[in-house]
Amino acid sequence: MTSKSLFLISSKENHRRRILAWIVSILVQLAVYPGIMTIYLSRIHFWNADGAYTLEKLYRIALENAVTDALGFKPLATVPIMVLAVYIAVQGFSYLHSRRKIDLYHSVPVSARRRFVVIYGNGLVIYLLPAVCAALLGVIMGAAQGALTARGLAEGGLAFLMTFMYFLVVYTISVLAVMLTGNMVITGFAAVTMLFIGFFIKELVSVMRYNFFDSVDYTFAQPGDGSCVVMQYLNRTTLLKNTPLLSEIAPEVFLLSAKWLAVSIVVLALAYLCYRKRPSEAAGKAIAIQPVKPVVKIIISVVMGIFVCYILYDATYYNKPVVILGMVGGTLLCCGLMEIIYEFDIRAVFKHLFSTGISAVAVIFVFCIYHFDLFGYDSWVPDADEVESVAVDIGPYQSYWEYTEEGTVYISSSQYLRDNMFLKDVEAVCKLAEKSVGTDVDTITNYLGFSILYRMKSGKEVSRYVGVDLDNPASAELLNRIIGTEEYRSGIYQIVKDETTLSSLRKEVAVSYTNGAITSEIAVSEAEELRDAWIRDMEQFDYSFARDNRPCGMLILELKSSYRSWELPVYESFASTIAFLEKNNAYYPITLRAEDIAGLEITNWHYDDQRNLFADSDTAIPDGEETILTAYATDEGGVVERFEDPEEIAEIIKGLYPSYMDLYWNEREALDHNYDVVISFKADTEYPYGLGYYSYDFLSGEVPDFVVERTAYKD
Amino acid sequence: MIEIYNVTKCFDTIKAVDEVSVTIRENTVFGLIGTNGAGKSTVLRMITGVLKPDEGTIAVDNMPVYDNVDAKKKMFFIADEPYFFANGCAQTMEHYYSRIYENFNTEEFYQYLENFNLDKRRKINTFSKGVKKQLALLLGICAHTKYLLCDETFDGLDPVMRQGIKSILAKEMEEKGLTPVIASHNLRELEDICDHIGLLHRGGVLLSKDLEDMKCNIQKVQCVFASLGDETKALEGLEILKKEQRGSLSTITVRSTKEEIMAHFATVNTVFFEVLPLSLEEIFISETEVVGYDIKKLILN
Repeated sequence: MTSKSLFLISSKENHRRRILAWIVSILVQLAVYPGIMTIYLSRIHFWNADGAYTLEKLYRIALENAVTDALGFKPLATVPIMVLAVYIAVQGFSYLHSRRKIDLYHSVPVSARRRFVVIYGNGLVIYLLPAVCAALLGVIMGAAQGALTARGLAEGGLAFLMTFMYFLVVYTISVLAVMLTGNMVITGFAAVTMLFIGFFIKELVSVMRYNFFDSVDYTFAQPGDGSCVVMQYLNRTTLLKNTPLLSEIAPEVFLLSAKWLAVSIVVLALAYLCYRKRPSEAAGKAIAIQPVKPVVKIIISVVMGIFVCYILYDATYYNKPVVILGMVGGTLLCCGLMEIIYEFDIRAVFKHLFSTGISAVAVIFVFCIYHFDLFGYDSWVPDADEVESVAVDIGPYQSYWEYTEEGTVYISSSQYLRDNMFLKDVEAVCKLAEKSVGTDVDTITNYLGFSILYRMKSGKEVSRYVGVDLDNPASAELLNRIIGTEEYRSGIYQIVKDETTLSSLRKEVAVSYTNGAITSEIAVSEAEELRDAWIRDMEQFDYSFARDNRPCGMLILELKSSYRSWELPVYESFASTIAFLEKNNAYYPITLRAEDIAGLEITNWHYDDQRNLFADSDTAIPDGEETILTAYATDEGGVVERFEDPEEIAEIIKGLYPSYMDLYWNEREALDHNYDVVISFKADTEYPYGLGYYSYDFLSGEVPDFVVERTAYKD
Repeated sequence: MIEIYNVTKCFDTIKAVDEVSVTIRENTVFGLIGTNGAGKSTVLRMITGVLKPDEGTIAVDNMPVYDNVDAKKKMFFIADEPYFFANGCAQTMEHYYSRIYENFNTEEFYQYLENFNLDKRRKINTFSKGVKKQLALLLGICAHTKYLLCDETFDGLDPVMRQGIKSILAKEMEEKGLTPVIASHNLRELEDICDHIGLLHRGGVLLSKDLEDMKCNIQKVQCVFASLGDETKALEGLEILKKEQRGSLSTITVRSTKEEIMAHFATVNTVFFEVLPLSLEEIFISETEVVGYDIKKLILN
């Protein structure tokens, strides 16, 4: 017999003994393809019968989308495919766990290599054949509904490839788990541990950083999956399911598939090596390969020790002795448990104390890394020469969006900044970050906290959160170097770069200007000129400018269909913008006219008084102040007064500023938040005030005495 | 020929086989006997390439056996608890083995099944332990390998079946040069089939000899002496393995040939003496007792 025919004979014989695996695989694939397809289509038919689709075209589109979704990326398949992969791997090589089976299989004249290749390869066939058939069945179902599109087929093909690669990598990891263990239950634990330990460690590292370090950034930090293929599949299918462009999906799928294929090859090589090295007598033991035992024990016990640290950190409000004792205790306990599992004997708890000692030392070392910041996480600032560019999330909140075939799609600010802000003055950012190192934010009154994304020349990206003392003149100078640049403006204001919104999508956009009380519409046809004027005026913008000036109005560009908008500040020195607005009869000064105002209702919440009371809350509450405290606690502490006297109104409006305006750069010292002011305008005014009430705030130090007096707390 | 040279095998801290050296000649029946835990199964599993020796070498027809398909083609191993596929029947097993062993004779197998009254389609898990062993033996015989290694395989067979299998083995040896290697506790069964015996004890080989040589070199003598002095003088110079006294009758197990014993006792004063044949079981007990495996130690006084 030729080796090829021998291989086929072995393969056929192996399949005969894996009928259960075939059945499980067929059931899973039927659920993943025709099953999900049936559910999706049934929903559409139900909604259609319910009259949800008013047009036939909408119904057809819904059917097509359902078929595409059923054939395409399915986060729902994550767990079934994972379980199937683990099952097929364990079932195929489970003979290694039985002495009786080993006596048979290892004594017959079949080479170890052939046996491994046959079992491993048959596992892939057991997955692939039902998967192909089930997918084809899904395609036929979609076609029978007349809802199969080229897009659906293409997405289905890409999803099939990605799911197969996901199966392949989980399956191969599970095969390695079988090779390393000698007992079915332990194999299950090992497979789950190998699949998820990366994710678990990453999460632990993340929470440990959060607990121990001050400069952990959450804006630019990527969620990450800790090299956990299961999480990768779940995250990517969720993402790709909602990615409209095939041109974006395909590279992502190919890249991920190539990565998983590479991982599979490496793991497969390891698994084969273990298979060859694994002694037959390992059947029934917990761990089959002796040198692996201490390594696994140390890794698992240290991870468990860190996990205990994480639990106790919050539970004890970081009671250091308890946390350290708990960590070490947890590690030792885990070591003992591992030994018991290794030997299947409770008396083995104190065996191999050397590796137990290493685990304890390792977990203490890990604690020291975080407690003493041994690797300088908080003090790390890159050398400016090593950084290609940076992005910072300094600035008021902005909306960001992009255009797709299906309309506008929201983009998070962190994503937009990551993709669009490339500050060249890296030195200024690094110097600012250096100033933040070791700063105790509790001692700073005027503090600006923000995240920095360093794009290193090596291709790596690192992010940190820093806090800057704004009262330090050097900080202001550095902030000017950052904020007063075109890269900053084009990074944070989408309108600077965006060419689509005001040209192609004119019908979608509404443009207006507001001074806080009056909003005037601007013809969209003029919007591009307005944009150019505003961009020109923004050249004078930097930190000192923003700190020393308050906007006199806001330009608002709103996407009608999605209620998304850009709000752009206009300052009194923005000559081009204001000239444009005046030319279009859209400009109104921010200063209010007393003769237009019917009345003012002022609420004094006495926040400062109450805060002072709470600041002394560890001492006895002063006599006669209980009511204020109670009122504050129940949010009923405001004293409301109405002012209608024209002279008083004239005095009051000198110190008012519209609440609608954005004072991100100077809010802390600019406004007195103790007061809320609501203005009602007269009906017959020269200016086109709208009906209703307008909310204003007092500028700091601008509250007239009579207002203070009349809104003082009364018993 | 199977050559085992200085083979050692440890399981964790336990040395199961300690520097064993045995040669199994072709076309003989090799009996591997030994005390419980002596390492018989381990030796067989090493011979068949299931286990890898920690030290030493095992060669089958001058080929190393571990992970060597060509060497394994010459052997069929029947374990002490043979594994059959879940829900499998005799036919299933025939399908498997006939595809693995090139010389497997399917016709002969089904003929044997009929002769032994075994249903080829009956699930094996419904068979008794003895029937399973019959089936394993028939599979092994029909594989027509050069060596058939059986671990405690005869122990579960009834006398008729045992005899039947023995006859088949004898026929195979004669016609096809089969070399059975049989590990067993049942020494009486081995006695009438084995040509050569390897005796294992605590992982080592106590002896490895042709059965006839073994029997020739150990004798049981029953004798009566007139006086203690005569007895002392008579036993001088003999290699006595065991001595029992019942009244004036002494029973002595001596390592020597029958001729030598006869000649020796002819020269000393005895009231009566007689040389008796030893069974394999008696040889086993005597040999193991010498190295401390004494039945008296197992009994509480």
